[in-house]
This record gives sequence, structure tokens and C-alpha cells, in this order.
Amino acid sequence: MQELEPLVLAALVELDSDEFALGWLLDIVRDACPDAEFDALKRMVLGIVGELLSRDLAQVHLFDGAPTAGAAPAALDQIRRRWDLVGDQLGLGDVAYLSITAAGRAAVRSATQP
Amino acid sequence: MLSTALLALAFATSHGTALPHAPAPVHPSMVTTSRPHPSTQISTGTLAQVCTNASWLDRLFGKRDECSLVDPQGTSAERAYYQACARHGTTGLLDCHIGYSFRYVTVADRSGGRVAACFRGCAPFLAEVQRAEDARRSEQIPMVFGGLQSVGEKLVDEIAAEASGVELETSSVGVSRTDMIVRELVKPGVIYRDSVRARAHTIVGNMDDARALFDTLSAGGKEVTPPSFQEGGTLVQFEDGTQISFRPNAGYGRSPAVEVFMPGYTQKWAKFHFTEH
Repeated sequence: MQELEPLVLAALVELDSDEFALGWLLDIVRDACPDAEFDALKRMVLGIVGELLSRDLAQVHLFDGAPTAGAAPAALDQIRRRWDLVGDQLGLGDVAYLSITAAGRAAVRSATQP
Repeated sequence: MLSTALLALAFATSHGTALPHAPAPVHPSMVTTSRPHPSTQISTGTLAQVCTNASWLDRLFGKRDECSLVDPQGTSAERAYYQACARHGTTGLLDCHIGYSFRYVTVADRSGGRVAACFRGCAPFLAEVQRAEDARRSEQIPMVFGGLQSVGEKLVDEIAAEASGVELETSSVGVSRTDMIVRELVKPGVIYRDSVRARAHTIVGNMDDARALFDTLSAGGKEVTPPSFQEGGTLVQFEDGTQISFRPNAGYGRSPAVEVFMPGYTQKWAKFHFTEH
């Protein structure tokens, strides 16, 4: 099982450059775990998002315009339910996109500076 | 009629293979074209740029060899064509560093300069192959390939240039969306800048360039921008599931971006940021 923390950092580094939709994160995880089944990939993606939210490293923006729940578990549930409706191919406008927070930028600096 | 047919032959042979050492058999065949095309001369520098861009896309889409999409075996007619060209020029193989090979021929033009034409490329040239195949099916103009053996240098030059497929702006039929997208992304004039980011690529250009690329790639699609898409962004989708987005404020306002998602061609998304520096 792939450890989440390196993937959390990889996602954060990407987020530092540009916000991205959930499918972009799925690509990151798929690259890291090319042999993983989709359900496992999905669990990892949701796990990464959960980590980012619970540590206030990123914000989630639901594409359908619904307000995002404040607490991480509730926001994650919003994402999961929407993703269940989409299936295994996430398009550019599916489910949600993420953006980095000030804490997230600080975490990137801390992790990438020698 | 002969000129038209020769041009069609050029298109039909744009996905050829290695030049054989022994003379190839010459068979009557059926070739045609939908319309004539002006001759295009390209330089090896242009080829190199196309090749470089193709290698960028290769890395980006995780494709090993776009040439696999083209019939790699060649035909006797193609071999005859290469033989004819080789009598007036030299052939070579331009290797890209990631999986691409462009077979080309150079011939002398009237001014004594050299022109080069690509005979085997990747997706940019599929359109020409497709066009020739479509035309061949629809018009069925007969032509004997043996006539090509005796063509003069100028005609070979024209054929070589036509076969290059580098005349990227004029295709009108038989071009799949995937082919069109990839052609736009590898064509000469698109300059990629090296980036530390492995997952996104940088094209030298400004907001207008980004918008122009988006407009080209998304033409004919349906706008499906969700209510809370990224700031100022637009999302277009085609019936085959291909999606193209334009985000003028990508990179937190630092660089506009065009994103491409082609399900079936690649599961991955491709993101192109534009920068003027």
C-alpha cells in the first residue's frame, strides 16, 4: 500500500503552482500506483484530500456551486457522493477543484527548501 | 490528372517505411486526392522543431511511439516512391529522444538549396494519410505507380514537400479530433519551454496565444462550463468525451492555461501553461 504522505506532498507541490480538479489528483495517484485498481486509487485520492483539508493545506471548491462543508469529514463526504455519480473517468469539470491555502504554501516551502 | 494522382500518391505514402536496398516491385494501384495542394517546402530545422514538440507530447501523454498509429509496414507503392525520391536526394532518419522517428528525404531545389520532407511521422501526419485514404475510397482514380520512376527532380521535390504533411493548416477532411489536437500541439511555431514540473508543460506565449489555441481546439464543441469552474474559465466538451478548458487566471493568475482531456487516447490530462518569458 502506497504511503499517503509523499502523495500529499506531491499534490501540494502541484497545488502551489496551480489549482487543479480532482481528476488531476487521480492522475498523480495513478502514476504513483500504476497497478492499483480504481477503487484503491479512489480511496487514496480521497485520503489525500482528507489530509489536505484536515490540515488546512487546501480548499475544496465544488463545481456544482454548492457551498463546501466546513469540516473536513463533511467536505470529503460531499466529494465522495459526487464522485460516485461520475464514475471512474473524471473530466475537467467533474466533482471539485482544489486550491492551496497559506498554510499549504508554507508547508511546501518547508518541505522543498534545503 | 497525372499531377493530381501524383499528389495523392504523395499523401498516401506519407507513412512509409525504410528505403529498401533492392528495387521494389511496381504495381498498378488506385490513388486519388480530393483536391490539389500547394507545394510546401520545409527545412530540416522545421522538422526538428516538429520532432521536438512531438517528443514533448510523447512525454506528456505517456505515449511511446505515435508511429504505431501509422501502418509501419509500408507497401510496394511506397517503396517505389522512396526509390524515386532517393534518386534525387538523400534519405535519413531524424531520431527524437523519446520514441519518435521521422524518415525524411532531402532534395535539391532549383536555387541549389536543399529541402527536406518528412515521410514518416506521428500524429501530425496522420491527417494527410487519412485524407489520402478517404479520397482514395471516394474517387478511385487509377494510376500506375511505375510512372513515378521517371519523374523529374522538380516533381520529386513537390511530391516530397506534399508528402511532408507539414502543411498543417489546410486539412479539411478525414481528420479525427485527436489528430487535430495533437497536430496543433506539435506544429512548428509552438515552442515548449522546459519546466521543472513533470505534469504540466509550458508554451511560450501570451494570453492571446492561449486563447487562440483554445479556440482552435474547442471549435465545434459544446460549452459545458460548470457553475463554479475556476475563475473566468471555460470548458468545452465534444460528443466523444474530449474536453478542452481555458483558464485565463490559471496559476493563481500568473499564467493562462489550456487543458486537454481525451478519453480513449490517454487517461491523463494534459495541461499547457503559457508564459511570455
